[in-house]
This record gives sequence, structure tokens and C-alpha cells, in this order.
Amino acid sequence: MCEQRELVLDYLYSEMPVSSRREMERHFQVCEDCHADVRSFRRVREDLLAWDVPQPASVWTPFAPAPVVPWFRQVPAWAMAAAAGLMFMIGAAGASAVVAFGDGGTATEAAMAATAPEVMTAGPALDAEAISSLIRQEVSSAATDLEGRLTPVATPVPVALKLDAATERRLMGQASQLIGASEQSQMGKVGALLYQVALDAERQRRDDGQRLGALQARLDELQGYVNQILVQQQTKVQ
Amino acid sequence: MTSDEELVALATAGDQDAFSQLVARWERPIYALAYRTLRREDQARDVVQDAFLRAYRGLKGFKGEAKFSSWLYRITLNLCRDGLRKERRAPVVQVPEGTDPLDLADQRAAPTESVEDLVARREMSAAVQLAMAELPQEQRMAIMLKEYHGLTFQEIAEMLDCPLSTVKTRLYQGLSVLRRRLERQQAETARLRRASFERSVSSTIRN
Repeated sequence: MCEQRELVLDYLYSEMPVSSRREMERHFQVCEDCHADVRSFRRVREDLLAWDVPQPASVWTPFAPAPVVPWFRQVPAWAMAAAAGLMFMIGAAGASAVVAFGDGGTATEAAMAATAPEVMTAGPALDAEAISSLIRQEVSSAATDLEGRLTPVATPVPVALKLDAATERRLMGQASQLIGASEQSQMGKVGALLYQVALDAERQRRDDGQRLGALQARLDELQGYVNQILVQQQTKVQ
Repeated sequence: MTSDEELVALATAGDQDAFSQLVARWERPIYALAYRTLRREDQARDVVQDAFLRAYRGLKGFKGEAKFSSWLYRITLNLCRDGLRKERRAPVVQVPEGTDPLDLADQRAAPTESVEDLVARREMSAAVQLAMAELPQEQRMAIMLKEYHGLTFQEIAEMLDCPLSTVKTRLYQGLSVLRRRLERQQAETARLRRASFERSVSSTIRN
């Protein structure tokens, strides 16, 4: 075995000074074993590059910002329940309801019946026609009042837009650019769509090919069984 | 660009952003190392998460005697070893069966890469994974750290706690075995392709 062989790796991975590299290269001219090692190892190194690694999204999350939680999710459930109970009590009190706490839970009794009849009987009785007449009067007087307050407004007269030639050229240029950009964008989208269609067609073609291949393999397999059975039958007959 | 050592100092002082920068810088290499060692994406992700967590917790104990990256590699390798030991599974590669055409279009290295080139690249990738999986673990580690992470012989020796000469021996033996296996696999692939081509030609002629 060549004594210089230990240095082949240093040469291969460039872990030796330039002067030593030159020396090794001279050695390769006289030692085919070492030279062959370097050549074949270089091929192996090229092959090793083929082993690619999938690139996942970042897996490191401890410092990620905390998800945003709505304020009502931050309030404990018991506090929400207490608040709801309180609101109910206030509402009940406003409606003159009687709320009684007891062993059997909470009992609520509406007390509106005692006051409501007084309200209903306080004013004179009005029929529907009289109410309608009153509304019409009110509306009519309000309309008269408004008409008196309004002053006529002059109708705007359209003004012709006059541009100098330079501004017009500039605006035309900008418009043309915008149209061009829009067309380009549309063409890009069309191109992407066509590419997608071609890609889908290619996928479909390959899928079909694979299915056909699988079917063919299955048929071959079945044919094999048939052949086996035929051979067995022939053997029996003999 | 801020050096790793400066970022480590900042992170040790409580600067979370500094540590996030270290993560962003080293996450991919660490994931690649874990993935190639364990050959499973989910486990590799767990190892990366765990490695950075350990590094973060151990920052105060990191004295800067070695490079931050070497320290991180060492943590990762230990976690990978633990994972392999726990599973007690042989390093079997899940070589993809066949080639999924749906993946192909999205996995081309460049839009100019033909589907045939892509298939060839994937076949080679599978062949390399298989050949690497069959190597003894020491040789595989040495090759991975050298080839995929560009560590020096000395750094590998320190990381694997062995003499420098041992690293070179493992590397030399590993590369020699890989050479033979890859050549054999390539010959086998070529033979299968030829047979498949001949079958399809004869089938076409029959029909």
C-alpha cells in the first residue's frame, strides 16, 4: 500500500498547504492507485450531492408572538356569568319585576300590571281618523316651513377642460404605459394558465401511463398464474 | 454580519432576537444533519426543536471553547443517537417506490431541468440514501459531517471524541464502500432500464 495514501483525503478536501498539494499532484503522476482513489472519490462526492433534504418551514416557535385573543376570551367564564346575572337583575328592576331568591332558585314576577292600566286611561280616547288627520296637518306645516327656508341653488355649468400639448402628451403617455402594463399582466396570467394546463395534461398523461403500467403488470401476473395452472394440468395428464 | 459568538453573548444577556438570529442561521444545517441521520422528517423536526431548546437553556454554560456551530452539531448528534437508540431500529431507508409525477413538476431544481433529469436525480438520491444507510454509523457520521457540513477533520474528531487519524480512516473506508455500492447500484439501475426498454419495445412490436 502506498505511504502517501493517508494524504489522499487531505488533498481531496483541500486540507493541506498549497506546496503539499503540488507535491501530491506530482505523486499522482507516478502512483496510479492514489490517483484512482482521488478520481473515484470525487465521483462519489458528486453523487453524494444528489441526496437532497426537504426544506420545512421554521420549526423554532418559542419566541413567536402570542396569538391575539379577543378581550371577552380573556375574561374568566365565572366573571362573564356574574356579569350576565347582574345585567338581568338590573333589567328586571327596570321593569318593576320582583325577583326573589330562595332555596328553589330565583323566582321573577312581573309587576307591570299594576301601573299599566293607569297610563292607558290617562288621556282622551282617539280614533284612527283623528290621528291620521293630526299627522297630515303636522307634515303639511313642516313642509311649508322647510320650503320657506330653502334658497335656490345655481345649476353647475360644465367647464371644458383645456390642456396644453405637453400635458396632453404626458397624460397620453401615462395612459399608454398603463394600458401596456395591463396587457403585459394579462399576457403573463394567460401564459401562467397555459403553463398550468400543460402541466396538468402532462400529469394526466403520466398518471394514465402509470395506471396502464400497473394494469399490464397485473395482466402479466395473471398470465403467469394461467401458465402455472396449464403446466400443472399437463403434468397431471402425463 | 454579526458573528455567532457575538450573537451568543447577546442571547446570554437575554436578547431573544439574537438567539432567533442564531436559529435562522443554523436551523437548516441542523435539520439536514438530523434528517440525514434519522431519515424521518417528523423526527428530524423534533430533534431540531429540542436541540435549539437545549442550546438556549445551556447558553450560560457555553464557554466558547468550541465554535457555537460545533457545539450545536454535537447536541444534535447526541439527540439523534438517543432517538436511534430509543427506537432500536435498524437504519433502514424508506426509499420511495416509483416516482410520483405530481411531485415532479414542483421539485425541479430549475424550470429548465427536464423531467428525465429530475427522475435521474431522484434515483441517485435514493441510491445514495440506501448506500449511506448500509454503512456503519461511525463511517456514516464522518461522511455526513465532512460532506454535508464541511467540518474539518479536527472538528469532526472533537465532535465524535476520537483521534484525527480515526476520522480519516472512517472517512476513507466509508468512501471506498460507497464507491463500490454506488457503482453496483448504478449498474443495476442501468440494467433494469435496459430490460424495461426492451420489454416495452417487444410489447410494441407484438401489438
